[in-house]
Amino acid sequence: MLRRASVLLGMAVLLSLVIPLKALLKHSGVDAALGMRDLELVAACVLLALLPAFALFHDAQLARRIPRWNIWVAVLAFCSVLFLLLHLPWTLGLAAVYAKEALPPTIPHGAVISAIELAARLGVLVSLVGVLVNLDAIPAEEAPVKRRKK
Amino acid sequence: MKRLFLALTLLLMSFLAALDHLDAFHALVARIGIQRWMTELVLAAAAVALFVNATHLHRRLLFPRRGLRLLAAGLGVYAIALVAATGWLSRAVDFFVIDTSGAWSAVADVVADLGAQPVFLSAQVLLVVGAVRALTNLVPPAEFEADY
Repeated sequence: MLRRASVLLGMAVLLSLVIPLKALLKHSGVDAALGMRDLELVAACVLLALLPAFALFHDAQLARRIPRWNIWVAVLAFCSVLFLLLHLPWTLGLAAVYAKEALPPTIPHGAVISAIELAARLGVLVSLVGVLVNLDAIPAEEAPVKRRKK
Repeated sequence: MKRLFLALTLLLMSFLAALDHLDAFHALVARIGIQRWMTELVLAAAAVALFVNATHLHRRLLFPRRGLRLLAAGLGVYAIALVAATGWLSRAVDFFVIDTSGAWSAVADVVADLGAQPVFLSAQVLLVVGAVRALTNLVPPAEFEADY
């Protein structure tokens, strides 16, 4: 269950990053109508992307094909949750306060948080691709013909 | 495979375009006349080439192939979006439609109102669905290692 949820969340995060939903929402004026800030808009895009992610998840029968233990799934879950937390105003505020206290004053805490956010984005991208290329075989009744060896 | 390579490159370009973290780098290379999309294209194509090579993607695609028609459609729509974004589409329609009172004028109006963004969005949706369908139709790694 946890593996499926993490892959689904990872797919939603990556879809929201690849498809310019944020620009579309801004362009259509939805953000202004709902009084959303940039941060909340990112989280809303992830929520919006959950639906197509679920459709893709179902289409590829991922629920039955994700390997039982896989480092990519663990990294994907961690990076997706980290990305979401860094795009919610209150958790970002907490992270900023903690970074300000923990880091020496010579290091700008904003830059550190920005670097962590970049790492989370790249982590989601790399680990989701890692999950997809390491899937188990499609269940036998619908399995396609394997390519002949050259 | 070419379609998948192109699609993955375009999708990675879109991912890179959303990164504000690369702004300083883009500003630096802009000084020597390199535009943002060029840098993104080179980075994306290099990353996809590395990925394809490292995962032996071309040898792991199963038959019957999945998602390739969607990828072709997505690339076609992407090309239309590019043409619309550069304004060539409306110029071409203006050039060919001389009679402004007939049914063709409606076509010209539709083309003039066609924004590039919704077309790009539809292209990207097609590309994402096609790429996911293709990438989830591979020989499992253990089986591939045993075979090759």
